[in-house]
Amino acid sequence: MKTLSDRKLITLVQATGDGEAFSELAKRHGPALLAFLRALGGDEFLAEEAAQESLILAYTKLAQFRSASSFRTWLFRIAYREHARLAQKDTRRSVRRQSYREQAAAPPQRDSDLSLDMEKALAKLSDGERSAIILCDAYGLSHAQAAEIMRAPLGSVKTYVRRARRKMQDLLAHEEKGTEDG
Amino acid sequence: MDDQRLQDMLRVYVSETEAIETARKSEPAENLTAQFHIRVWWRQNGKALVLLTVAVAAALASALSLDIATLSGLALGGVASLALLFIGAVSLMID
Repeated sequence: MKTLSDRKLITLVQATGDGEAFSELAKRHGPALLAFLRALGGDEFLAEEAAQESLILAYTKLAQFRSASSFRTWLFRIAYREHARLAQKDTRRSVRRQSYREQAAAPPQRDSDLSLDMEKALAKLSDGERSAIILCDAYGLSHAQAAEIMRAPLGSVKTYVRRARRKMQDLLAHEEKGTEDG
Repeated sequence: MDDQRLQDMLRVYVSETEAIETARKSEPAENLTAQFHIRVWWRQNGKALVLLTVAVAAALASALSLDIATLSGLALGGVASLALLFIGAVSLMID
């Protein structure tokens, strides 16, 4: 399975419902999926829950997948919606999430100050701005692809990206200045 | 800071997050896959399992004239055993 391309694995799942082939896809794209979801909301529990739900949806809807986009882009589209749906149930999940945080043996440790600064700056953006800049600037998707994933008008996505860049640049410049002064 | 520098920083940030997710003790990809199998199985067979358990319990109760407490205990035990068997099978499959 490990030597097969995404396309071949997808064809296999579409033809036979092969769970092992889908597992291989999940292993390949799982870390990127989690990283994307964490960047969207920064919450581990929500990210993992959304990742699980996205994989189940992807498996059950893989017959609808057409290779117009890459598997990862298609998976991100599902994940983006699941993340938004689950985030709306936030209050009901807060107790479970707290428990999860307490139980987490080793929360992710950032190696660099840069990533810590990025995380802080991203947290200050609106949901739309954060999603748009992550999709376009971090993952290199086009505005049109980001608009498709976010189900937002193309013009809005362009505005989100422009605004997010300006805010991030200001925030990061402020952080850099603070570090130099300190 | 120009747009290109910001993009580079965002890419480093995302790559670092991916590396962390890949390296974490819980092996997220394996964990995702294991949980994925369990959840898919439950969605496909959960209702049938519950209905079957209720039907078997009702048949047992009727045949053996069991009281409700004994019946509930048997039903819970049955479901728990089946769940453990399934989780064990999934673990073996993944190993």
